[in-house]
Amino acid sequence: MPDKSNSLPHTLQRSRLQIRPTRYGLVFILLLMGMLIGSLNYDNNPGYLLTFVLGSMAFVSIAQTYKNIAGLKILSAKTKPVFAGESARFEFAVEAAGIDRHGIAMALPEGKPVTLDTLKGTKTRIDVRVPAVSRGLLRPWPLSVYSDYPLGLFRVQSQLTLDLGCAVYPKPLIGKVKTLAESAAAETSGAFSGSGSDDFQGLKGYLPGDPLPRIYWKASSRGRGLFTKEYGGQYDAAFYLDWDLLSGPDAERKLSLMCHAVLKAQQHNLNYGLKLPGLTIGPGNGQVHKNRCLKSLALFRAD
Amino acid sequence: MDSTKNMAPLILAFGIALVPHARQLPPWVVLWCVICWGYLLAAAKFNWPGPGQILRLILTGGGILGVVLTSGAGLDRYSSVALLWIMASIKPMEIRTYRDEMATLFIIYFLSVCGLFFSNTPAVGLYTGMSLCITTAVMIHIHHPAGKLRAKLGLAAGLMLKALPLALILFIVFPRIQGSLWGIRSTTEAQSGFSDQLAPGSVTRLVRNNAIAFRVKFEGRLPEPGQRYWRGLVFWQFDGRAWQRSSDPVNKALPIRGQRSTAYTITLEPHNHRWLFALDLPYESGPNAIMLSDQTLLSRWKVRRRLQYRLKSYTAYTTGPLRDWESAALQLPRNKNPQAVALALKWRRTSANPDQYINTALNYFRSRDFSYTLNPPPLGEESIDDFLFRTRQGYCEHYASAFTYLMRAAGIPARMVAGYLGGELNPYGEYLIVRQSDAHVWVEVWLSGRGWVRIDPTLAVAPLRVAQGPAASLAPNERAVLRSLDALGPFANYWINFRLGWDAFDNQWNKWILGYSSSRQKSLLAKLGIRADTRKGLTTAIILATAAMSLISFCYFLRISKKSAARQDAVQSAYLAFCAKLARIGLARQPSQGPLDYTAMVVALRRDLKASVFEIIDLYIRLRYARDGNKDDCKRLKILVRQFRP
Repeated sequence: MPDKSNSLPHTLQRSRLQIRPTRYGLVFILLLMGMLIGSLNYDNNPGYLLTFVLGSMAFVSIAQTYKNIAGLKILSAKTKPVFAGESARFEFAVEAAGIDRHGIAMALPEGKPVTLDTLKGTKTRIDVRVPAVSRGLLRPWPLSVYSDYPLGLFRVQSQLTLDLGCAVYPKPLIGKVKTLAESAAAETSGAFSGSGSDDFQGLKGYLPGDPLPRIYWKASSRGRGLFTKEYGGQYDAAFYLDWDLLSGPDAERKLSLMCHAVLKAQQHNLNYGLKLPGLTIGPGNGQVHKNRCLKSLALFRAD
Repeated sequence: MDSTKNMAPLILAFGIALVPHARQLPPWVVLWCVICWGYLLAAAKFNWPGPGQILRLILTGGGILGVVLTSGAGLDRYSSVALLWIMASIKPMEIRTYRDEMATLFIIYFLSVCGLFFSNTPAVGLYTGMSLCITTAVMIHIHHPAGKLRAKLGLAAGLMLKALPLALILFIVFPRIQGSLWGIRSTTEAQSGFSDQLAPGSVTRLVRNNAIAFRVKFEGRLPEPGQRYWRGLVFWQFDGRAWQRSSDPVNKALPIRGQRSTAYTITLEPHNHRWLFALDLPYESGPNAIMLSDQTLLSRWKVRRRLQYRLKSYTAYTTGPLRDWESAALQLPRNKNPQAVALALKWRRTSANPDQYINTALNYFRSRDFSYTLNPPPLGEESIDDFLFRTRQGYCEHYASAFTYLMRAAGIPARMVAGYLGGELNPYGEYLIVRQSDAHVWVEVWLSGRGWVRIDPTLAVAPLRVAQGPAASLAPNERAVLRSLDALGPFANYWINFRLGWDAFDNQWNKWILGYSSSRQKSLLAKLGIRADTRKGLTTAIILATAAMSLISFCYFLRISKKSAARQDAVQSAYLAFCAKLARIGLARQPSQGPLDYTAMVVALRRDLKASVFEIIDLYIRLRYARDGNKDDCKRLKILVRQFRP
């Protein structure tokens, strides 16, 4: 089953659910043993009876736990890219068919479980986080959906593998990155420190795609509309961030440096491109371009 | 503070579990618990700091020391439970995590069940069941803090009810052993009842006790009130003041001849002695009992727990000739009570036969100013003389004692019999309740040709004693001792009815819950065809039964929910097929349309389909939303959709 991924929407089928006692369930069995020995010793029939009632109750509660989780529908799942070192967030939409559900927990391996209650017929969104340790496409499956309700003595669990991955960008690393001018037939290379110029020139009306840090928030917060700050010293000339111009054997370090450079270049609204072995992204600008660059850094295989 | 959010429910569950223990625990332990919990509740409410680790250690140490000091060095079950409660009072102070909460709940469960080891009454049993139910509700609350309290209590009660059939089966088949594992004594302490000797005042003390001595269920008709003499002990030897049971009479009962046999089952409350009670006169002893030659029964062991036995008695009988050793029935202390002896000799001279003599004696009680009282004046050294000629006030033991004395003085063999007279009929269970307050002493005299004959001299002074109980014959100011119910006035009847109803329940509890023993289990299983003769056979049977039971119940639960889910799916797919058929003719359902809106649209556009569409939709709505449709409805919906041709 781990190899096969489930398609959404997915309903938790009774036949696919696994049941096992929790550790409290095991302690509870010990407790019942204690009560039984006490009843045996005092030859106490009411003691026997209530001990058996408690044991049977735990047993019967399994049906309740099943009922609580079976038929739960996972409608959709989505995620957004993150940088390595942050935590990736998977957002699921869950619908409780038939009955109210209580204490449904969802957890990804190495992530913290999240608990939710849903009322019947309503959709609930739930964020499940998992640490994004390293660059790449994070596929933290299987997702465990489980519930200990009502007594916490037994756990009914289902596992779910989705064909969904979270792009984890390299962790940005500040450093000098050599750039390659696009027009340079001759290989004149410049240096891009990513510091940019702070020569403030004035305000212009906001256009979609302008970098957020340049928005003059002071004005917008006073209700005068959106303005973008313009700086002098911008390179109009297009340039490439080139893998081959970076020295050093550590591929991840190179990617981290390039990641930071992309972020800075976008922050300063430069016209930048990306050159990786086997992949070239022509110069451009804007959030879409930036994300494309970052994603190719995330998914790059240096071998 | 996160750790205190479940404090109040947990402490509530603790408090409820404490109530049945309150009587056994040293009072300071109860107080200690209440103070600790009270502080924690207040701390949770007003955000006070919780006790630190050092304080907790000090409290734990102090509590343990306190228990050791109160109970002495020996760790009996009272002090161990007291220790558990000390821990229970401190445990909530350490609740930080989910784990602590679960551990606390387990302690509450354990303590609740422990309460049963101290008291066996159905009230405590029911209360403990309720306490466990509330603890379970708290457990549910911890796993689902949102939601209504009533729903949680309902779920907990529902779980327990569903658990009951399985629990009962386990209760029936779980192997019982006779006696306890480590030989710990059963729960009964010294109980009230008769003792080895009978002195003036020993019955009057007993009569003030309203506790139940035993219950009797007859297999046939109840004997007449005048026949309800419950024989327990026979006293032979008189030392001038008290009567003794004497050295045990020969342990061999001689066959007696009798008529009007009646069979009955007695459930005897523990009294810590060996004697058993039986309707006058038993002729067949049950197992584990022996019948002495004075027709009294002795249990093989002291009756330390409630005991049930079945007996047969004759209410009309002859016991045959006087045996040699029975001459003890003529024994009298020497040189005592000269006036009584003189009176007896005088009567004997004037009486033609023993019968006449007996009547003279009874008439003497009847005609002189003898009175029946619970508070007779004290008697002197010559107790019989004192009673017959001076005080003339007494309870049954005074009359029986004086009468026996008079008989023996005249050479008529006589002995004293102690037991109970009467009993209250419980209409809810058709059985008799015999209480300590029914305690009675009467006399048996030996008459040739008839054997031992019962004579009750008390009836000479208190003729209503048989029909209406002791209270009717007492002076009004003494009745209150026996009939405190009079104070309730018009409510007395309700109270009596309630008490009888409760006693009927108590009786069933004794019979089915407390009385279930290894021998009962064997016979029950044998009836079910399980051979439980050998230990191995029994164990195998139990394992098989448990496994089968578990399997059945598990499949049952799975099937119920699966079936309803499957049926729901069938209904839904029929509806979808119906929609698809309409979509093919261009009447697709919009996502926003419910079944009713959709029907309205379809019917508006295609009047010719009206009848069939309505039929399908009505059925669908009933199955889907009203949820009262059955399997046939579901089938019909499928057929209707299949036949639907738009």
